[in-house]
Amino acid sequence: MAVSRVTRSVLRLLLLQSSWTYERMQGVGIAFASLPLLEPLRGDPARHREAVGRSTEFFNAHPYLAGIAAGAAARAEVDGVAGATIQRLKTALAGPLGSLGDQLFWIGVVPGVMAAMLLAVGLGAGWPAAAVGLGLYLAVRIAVTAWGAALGYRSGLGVAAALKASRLDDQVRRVGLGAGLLVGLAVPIVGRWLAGGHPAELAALALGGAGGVWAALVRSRIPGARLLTLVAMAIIILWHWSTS
Amino acid sequence: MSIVVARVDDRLVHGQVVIGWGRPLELNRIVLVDAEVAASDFERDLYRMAVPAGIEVEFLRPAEAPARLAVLGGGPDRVLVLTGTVAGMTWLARASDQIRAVNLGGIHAGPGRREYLRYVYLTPDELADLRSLEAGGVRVTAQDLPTSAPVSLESLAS
Repeated sequence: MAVSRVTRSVLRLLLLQSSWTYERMQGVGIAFASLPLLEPLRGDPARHREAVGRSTEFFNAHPYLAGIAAGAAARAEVDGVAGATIQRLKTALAGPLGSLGDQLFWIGVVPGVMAAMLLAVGLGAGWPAAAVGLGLYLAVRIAVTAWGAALGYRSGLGVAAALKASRLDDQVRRVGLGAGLLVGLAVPIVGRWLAGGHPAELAALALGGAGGVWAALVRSRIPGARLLTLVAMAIIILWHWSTS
Repeated sequence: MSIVVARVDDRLVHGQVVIGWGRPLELNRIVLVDAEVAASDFERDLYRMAVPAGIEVEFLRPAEAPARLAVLGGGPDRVLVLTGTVAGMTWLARASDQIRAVNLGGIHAGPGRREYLRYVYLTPDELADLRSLEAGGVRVTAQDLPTSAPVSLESLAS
C-alpha cells in the first residue's frame, strides 16, 4: 500500500503553504502531508505521536520540492532513526531544496513555459496555446512533487545520495538553458506579431524586448542561460532581417 | 580582516546565507563550525549541494576552528563563519580573537524561547550569553538580510 500512501501525501502537498506562519513556515503543511506516510507507526501510539509532533517543526524550502524532505523524514521515522538525527536531516535538506527549486521553477520552468506559450501565439497558434501552457506547467509541477515525495520516502537518511544519483542539479541546469533558448526565440517573434510587420516598430520592440529580457536575466543563477537567450534572439532578428 | 561575517543561523547553509549575503559581500568561503555536521557524511553532502560554484565550504569541529580561523583571518578569502546555535558562537567568539562582531541571522521558535524579532527567538540563557559577549567587546546585531536594517542587541532586548 506504499504507493497509495505516497499518492495521498502528494495530494496533501498541493496544500503545503495554506497554513504558512512565521513561527513554523511550512512546518504544519509538512505534518499534514506526512500523516499518510506515518501510518505504519499507528500501531505504536507513543511513537506515532512523537513522529507527528516532530513533523510539525519549523521547515522552509521550495514548496514544490518540500515533499522530498517530508518523504525522507517520514521514512526515517518509520525506520526508527533517532529524533535528533531526523531534525538535522530536515534542516540540511531545506537549503539545497530551496535553492534547487528556485532555480528549477522561477528561472527555468516558469519562464520556459511562458516563452513557449508566447512563441506559439506569435506563430499563429492563437489563445488556446495559453491554456495548453498552463496545463503543461501544472503537469510539471505535480509530476515533480510526486517524484520528490516518492524519492524521499524510498530513501530516508540516504536521500542525499539519492538526490546526487538523480542528477537533479544537472536537470536544473538543462531546464534553465532550455528556458533561456525559448525566451530568446520568443522575444523577436512576439515583437514581429505585435508590430504587425512594420519594420520601425519591430526594431523598437526588439530593442525594448531585449532590454527587458536582459534586466530580468541579470539575476539568473543558471550559468550560460543569459548568453543563450541573447544569441537566440540575435539569430531570429538577423534571420528575419535578411529575409524581409 | 577577512572574516567578513560571523553568523548564527539554525538553518545553517541556505539561500539567505549563500545568495543574500554571498553576493553583496563577495564571499568566497563559508566555514561551518558544528560538531555534528563535521561528523555526518549525509549532512555535509546536502550542505555542499546548497552552495553554488565560486564559494568554497568547509566543515570544522569546534576544537579545530580557532586555529583555522587564525589562518583564514590573515588570508585572501572573504569568509563567512557560521554556527547553528548561540552557544556555539559564544564559545567560538571567546576562543578566537578573529570574531569581533556577531550577526544573529535566524534563531527560530523552540522550547523555552521567547520572540524578539520574527527571525530571532532566544532562551534567557542565550540572551545572557549574547550580553556577556557584548560586554566583552564583541558587537552583536540581528539582521536577516543585508538589505534589512540591523537591530542592536540593546534595542532588541529592551
